[in-house]
This record gives sequence, structure tokens and C-alpha cells, in this order.
Amino acid sequence: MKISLDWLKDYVAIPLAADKLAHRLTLAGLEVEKIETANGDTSMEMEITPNRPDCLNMLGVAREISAVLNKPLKAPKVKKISVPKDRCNIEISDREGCGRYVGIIVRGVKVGSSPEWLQKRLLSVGLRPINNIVDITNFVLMETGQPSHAFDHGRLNEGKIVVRRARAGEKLKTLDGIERTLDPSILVISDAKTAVALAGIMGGEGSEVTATTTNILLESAYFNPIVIRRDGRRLGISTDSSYRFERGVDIENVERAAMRAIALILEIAGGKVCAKSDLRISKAKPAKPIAVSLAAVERQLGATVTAVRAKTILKKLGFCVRPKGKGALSITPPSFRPDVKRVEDIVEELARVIGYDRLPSSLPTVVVSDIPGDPRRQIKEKIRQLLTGLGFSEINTYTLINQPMLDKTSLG
Amino acid sequence: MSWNFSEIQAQAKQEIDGVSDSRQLEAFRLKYLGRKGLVQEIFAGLGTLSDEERPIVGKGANELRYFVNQLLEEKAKALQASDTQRPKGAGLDITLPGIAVTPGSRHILTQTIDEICGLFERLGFAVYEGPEVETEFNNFTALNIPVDHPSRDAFDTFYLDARDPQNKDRYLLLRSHTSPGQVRIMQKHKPPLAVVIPGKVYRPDAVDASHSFMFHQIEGLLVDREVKFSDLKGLLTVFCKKFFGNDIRMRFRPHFFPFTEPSAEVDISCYICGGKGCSVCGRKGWLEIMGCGMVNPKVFDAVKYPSGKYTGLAFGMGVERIAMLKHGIHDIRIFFENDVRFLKQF
Repeated sequence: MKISLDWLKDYVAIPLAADKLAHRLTLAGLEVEKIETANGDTSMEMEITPNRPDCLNMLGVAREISAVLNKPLKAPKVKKISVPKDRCNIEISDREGCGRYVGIIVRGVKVGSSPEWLQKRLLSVGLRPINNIVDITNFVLMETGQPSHAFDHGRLNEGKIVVRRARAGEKLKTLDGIERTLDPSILVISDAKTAVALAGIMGGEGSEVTATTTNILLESAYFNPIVIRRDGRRLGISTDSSYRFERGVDIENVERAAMRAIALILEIAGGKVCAKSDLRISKAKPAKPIAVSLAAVERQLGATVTAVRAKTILKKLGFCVRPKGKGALSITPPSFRPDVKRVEDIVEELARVIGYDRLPSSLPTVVVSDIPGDPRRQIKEKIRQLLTGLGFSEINTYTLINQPMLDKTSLG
Repeated sequence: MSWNFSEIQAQAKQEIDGVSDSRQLEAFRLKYLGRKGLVQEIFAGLGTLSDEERPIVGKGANELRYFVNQLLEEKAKALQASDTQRPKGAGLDITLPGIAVTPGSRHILTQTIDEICGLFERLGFAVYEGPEVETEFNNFTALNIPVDHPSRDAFDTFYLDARDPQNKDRYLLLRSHTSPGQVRIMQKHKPPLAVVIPGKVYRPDAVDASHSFMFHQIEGLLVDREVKFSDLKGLLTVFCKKFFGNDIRMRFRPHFFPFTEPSAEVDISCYICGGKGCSVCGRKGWLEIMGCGMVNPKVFDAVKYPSGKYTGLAFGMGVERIAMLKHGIHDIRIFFENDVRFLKQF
């Protein structure tokens, strides 16, 4: 994933040169593979491990930097927008595939080029500006990690949205120009008549926002990672959106990110919000607090971490930390950290922010083994000794051969 | 008994002519002059002779003894002379070159595995080898890699037609890493345990200079009551210094594996460029050599160890990668071509 240093600085102060920052991030678990300078900005190519989908965006990386450098995080302020009580016409038919769907209708937008600052931001991370509406959805995707999609509301039959599985043989022409034939395992966004988008993956040409669009429906949703992954594999598509859905977006952030996009749309393209729906399949599940004793942390790391240090680190990472008696903390992970559930996960967070290289080293005690030696291994060893002593060279061949080769042997 | 001394002398003369080496010479001497020799026999018999015969026979024996000694001296001289004329060690030309035995060799991968396992064995680890055909449970599920999780993308796998006899819904597979060995050893033995698990692993990667569908890994596992993260650092530092040399620098970087928490990758300073950055280390100055971490308690759950009782450290490394780094081999395919010109370099 490509990130821009200038863009990051919108969210956290970085008083370090790019290579020093890259070093600190790499040692904190976000590996920086490449640093490039272009147009006065520095970009970094990062490798994010699959357990950290929360870092597939600027805010996530900025949060990590704020923890590692112990600097405050400046989240973007979203102006409060007055939203009428009207609802959109949205239906979630497939409860397995979609956990939350936020739809917002904005009337009277003017589609055009994005302002320069927005184009610059997109270009700095390797994205191509298209029009202000699409650019805003891409911006919010890269900023928050929440994908969103804008439909031309006028081109949705009955202005309706249905989240369902495709019908056998249903056709859809996606934004890349490819006409696809779908099967009932594929999750789609459809209008009253037909599929208009591959859910979580790519929109369709029939409902895309063009220069003549005046009314849009903005979608921001949570789709089932397993479903999106299977669909993407089956269709052979991978997009910035599907990549994030596959790894799990933060279901609690779906609406907030949508409002961030709406605020930018109103500011840049004008228009007025006229309806909003926020459908959830299941109620928000509050994260379970994890009780962590500092003695347990010491036992696992072989180093002492004070309560103050632990609290500072974890709070910067977005965790809620409360004291729990003497020498223990009650730690509640944020909704974007579903990977943290147990004490060991907390220990890892502390260890990586402190710095693995700053933690002590010790030598373990290895107890004499009563695991018996493998006699076959000993025989192989004797054979090797004998044959190499007689002048033979040992070879190492592939243990798999193909059918034609096998047929040539007496075993085929 | 009467002795015909002139006949005996003629006989002796004839016999000495047939002597061609020192052994035969000695045999001749013993025959005539030895304790059980002829001359001694004659002297021993003097007492039985008459007064007239005694002095004659005595004189004859003395003359015979003198005569044989002469013969012996002459012959000894002659043998020595001919010895110096013949080449030394006749029958064995010691200037000829010896019959050389061309030494054979172990495959460099075997040597690397032996060296690494040997290092750990000297630290008290046992060596265990698991099977190459594995169950999904051992290769994924028990290691906290659920079937549909995206991290499984990193572990694309060769599946077999045969089904798991213990779980008829699932197919057997070729293990994609040596980590399933951890599951097996923990199911067989209770802690404390320390093992290294070398072996072949399989991944359906397109074959190129740095990828092979079959390669080798060595897994390590240490489980006990109080194993700490600091132990992981210390143990692997000892290993790296012993294997790569005392001068290398190391770093531990946080990473992610589903079966360890905390997880790390270990880098050593690139010994080609000394850490400055070159094509071998991709300009990073560091070479990644292994993954490691503290065993995720979910793995202990899967092998039915009592919850919270044990902690463990685990590590895994690619043998080909390490051999390629250590010996400057640039193409992984060379290991399996088995060209003798390659094999004999190690």
C-alpha cells in the first residue's frame, strides 16, 4: 500500500526524516519496502500484515505513528450535517453477506473536476482523479479505510437498493467495461430490476456517476469478508475496496466514514442531503475488556512494563484503559482491532511499540530430552556416511513427477 | 659314522649358489652352523668315535666350519652388492602416486540442515521429522489458520485426492510448512520439550530463481512453564552468531503469523554489503532469514494442553534461502538440478 508523507502529516506531526520514520514503522511491525520522492512529496510503499486491516489507510498508519513517536493524533473533524428523517428505499436480503448498509441520497450535486488539493492527495498515493464525486469516495477510502460507492440515483430503477445474491445467469457490465455473467453465489447490489454492482468489489457502468448526474446515492457498508473474498476469486477481480472488505472493515465506522464523504461532497459538489438509512443486521457488540496483570506481561516478555507506560501506549493505539486493582489493567480494544482478544495480543502491542530490540534478551533453560531418536534418521545417516565415504555425491531431487515421466518408469 | 667332508663341502657350495636372498642365506647358515646344524651334530658325535678317528673328524669339522663361514661371507657380500644395484624396494615402487579415493559429498542442503540441527542438538534440542503428507487440521486448523481466513492466501496448498482417514470431509495435503510437526510432537509428548523439525515442504508457486514448489524448512519449538519472549531473542541470537559468525548484527521485527503471538521476523545484516544496501538485500541492508514468535495459546488449546500452564517459543527458516545467502548461490533451481560440478563444490 502506498502512503504519502504529506498526507500523513495532516493527522500526526512527524518530526523525522522519511528514512528514519520508515525505520521506526518497520520496527513497529509496519514494514516499509520502498521510499520514493516525487513532486516534493515522499511516498512510502508499505507491507501491511493481514492481521492489521486497520492500517490499510492514512488514519491507521497515523495512529501507529502517534503511538510509536508518542505524538497526538489529529482526526479529521466532520461538520455536523442536518439530515432529514426521510429514509432511502434499501433492503438487505442477504443477511449473511451484508452486516450493515448505510445509504444517503444527495440531490442537486454538480459533477466536475476535483479541487487541486484533492487531486494532489489522490495522485500522491497512485490513484487517478476521475470526477469530484468518485474522487471523494476514493479519498475517504484511503483516509479511513472504509470503501464507499456513489450511484447515480436517477439510474436506479425505482431508486431502490437491494443487497442480494445474483440470479443464475444475471448479467452485469462492470466499470472496467467487462460484461459479466453471474451465479447465485455472487453478492450484488441491485435496484428494483437488476444487479447494478458487485457488492464490495466494483460498481456497474449502468449506474455510475457521470458529468450529467445530479442526484446520487452514497453507499457505505460492511460486507462479509469471506463472501467478498470468494466472489473476488471467482470473478478474478481485486480492487482497493475488495482488498479491504476481504480483510475486514470496521463495522462501527461505516456511518462515520459515510458522513465524512457526505460533508466533502456538500462542500465540493454542492447539493442537499434528502434521505438517509442505516441498516444493521445485528446490534453492535461491545468489545469484551481484557484483564491484564502487569506481572503476566513481565512473565511473557521477560521485561517489566509500568502501568503508566502501558496505558500511554495502548491509549495512543485507540484502546480504552482502566486500572483494575493493584498491578492490573482492564483494556478494551477499539472496534477496528478485532485481532486483539487475549492477554498475548496486548503483550504484542506493548512489545512492538516499545521496540523488540529495546527488550532484553535471555537464554532459556533446555531440559534434557526424553524424546527418542528416530532410528530411520540414524540409518539414513549411516548410509550417507558410507556412500559419501566411497565417493558418491548425494543428490536431492524433486519428489513430485508428472504423469508422462511416471509412465516411462516401471511404476507408471 | 664316517663323514665325507669333501662331499659335504661340495654340497654346501652347490647350495650356497642357490641362495638369492638374506632369508635363504640365514636358512643355509642354520643348516650348517646353527645349534641344530650339521657341524654341531658332528662335534656332538665325537665322543662316540675311536681314538684314531676323533682327531681326523674333529679337524674335518673345523675345516667345514671355516669353509661354510667363508661361503657365507662371500655370499653376504655378493647379496649386498646386488641389492645396491637394484632399485630400492624392489617389487614396490614407492615413487608411484597412490591410489586416490575421490571423496564423495553430501548435498549442500543436507549439509546445511545437518549444521543447523547440529547446532540446536548441542543446545539440548531433539530432532524430529514429521510426515510430508499431512491433514488440514495439523497444517492449518490447529495452527489457528481457519479455512476461509485471508492469511491462508499466503499458504496456497497442494491437495491430494485421498481423504483424511480421521475426517472424511477433508482431503489430505502436502504440508506447506514444517509447523504441523509442532502439533504432532505436542500431541505425542508433554512439556518440557525442545525439538527441531527439518523437512521438505510444498507450495504451488511458479518455479523461478527464487521460488520452488518443493523446498526445505527447519522448524523449532521449545515449550515449558516459563518460556519468555526474551528467551526467544536470546536463543535465536546464539544460533545466528554460531551459524553466520560473531560479527553479524541482528534485528527482530514485529510480524504476523497466526500461530505465534507476539510474532517476529529475524534479519541479519547483509554480509555482502555490510548493511549499506546492495542488490542481494534489495538495498535494505538487512536479510530476512527466519520467522519466529511465542506459541499462540490457541495452538496449545488445539493440542489439548491445559490452558495457561505452558508457554513456548517457535521459529522456522527456509533452508534453501539460508544456503543461498551463505554460499552465494543465486538460483534455487540449481539445488535440484544435481549437476555434479555444483555438488562437488561443497
